Amino acid sequence: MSRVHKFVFFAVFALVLVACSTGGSGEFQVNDVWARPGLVGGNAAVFFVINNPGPDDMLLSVSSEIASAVEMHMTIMQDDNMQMVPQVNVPVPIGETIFEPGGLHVMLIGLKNDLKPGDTFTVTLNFEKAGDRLLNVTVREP
Amino acid sequence: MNTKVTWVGLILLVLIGAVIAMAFYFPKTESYRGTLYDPPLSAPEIELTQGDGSRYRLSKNRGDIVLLFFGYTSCPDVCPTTLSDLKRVMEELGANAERVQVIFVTVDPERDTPQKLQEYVSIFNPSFIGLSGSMQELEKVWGNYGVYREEAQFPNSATGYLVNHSARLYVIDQDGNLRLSYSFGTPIDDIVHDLKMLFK
Repeated sequence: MSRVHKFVFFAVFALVLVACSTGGSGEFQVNDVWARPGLVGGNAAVFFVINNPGPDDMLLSVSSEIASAVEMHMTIMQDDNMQMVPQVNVPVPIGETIFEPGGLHVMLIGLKNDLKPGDTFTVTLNFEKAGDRLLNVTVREP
Repeated sequence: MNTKVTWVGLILLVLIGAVIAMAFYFPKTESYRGTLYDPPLSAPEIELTQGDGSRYRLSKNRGDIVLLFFGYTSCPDVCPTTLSDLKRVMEELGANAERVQVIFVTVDPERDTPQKLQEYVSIFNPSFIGLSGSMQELEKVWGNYGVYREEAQFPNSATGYLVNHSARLYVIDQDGNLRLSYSFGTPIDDIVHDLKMLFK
């Protein structure tokens, strides 16, 4: 193997390693899906973790039969003050995008039923590239 | 020369020994992990309506520790997260939880009736008390506790409006003094640690 060949071989090998370590691995997944309990007519939030192996994607909309309306919201803390801001869409870059308390969440507005611990329902996430993903949501203990 | 060095060494040894002995003899005083009001401030009275229609007065809880939080039932994130943390704090306190009263005061009286508030906080712990009142009564309480609260209109959102608000948790001690406060997301262990100190 000539020097040039060796160089090219190691360069490609290094690139593959870098790609494997920086990009998400495996398939596009949404895990750790849960919601807090809520009362009929009230609101609740759904949380989850998106694992995107690539390419960069965008969450365009959310829907569910469990509530009158479903939206994407972001909680922002500023000097101990909390504000929630509705999001038109949410970028989902390669890697993990986390919907969690105190941050991004799917907001269920006007619950049609009480949500009690152990209850389950579905939410559909619509991604620009990954398409529709149906989530099975479990209501956790408060 | 050698005698001098020996004496200096001996004195040093004695000093180091004394420092170590003092560290063991006088244990380090524990400090609070929350934001301490020093000196403590007398907690302003709160008089509002609870779920059964009766009037609640903060002064009735003299002798107990009161954990005070301001929020609203349509808030799906910060408020239930804090109430969920407080549920766990009560579990961690065991029998001492009987000497702690959690109070949740609304920042959204237009949508939160006292009954609705009580139903909501009871999801987390039936002993929690939800309070509402007239705008005039509430404005007085918000003002006394320095609570920021502002309605934010989102015409494209089904929520109609959301309420931006302070997310601090206040601790009122057994003597009715505002003693500590915590920012949102303070670890449960820190709150439990401080409450146990207040029980001593």
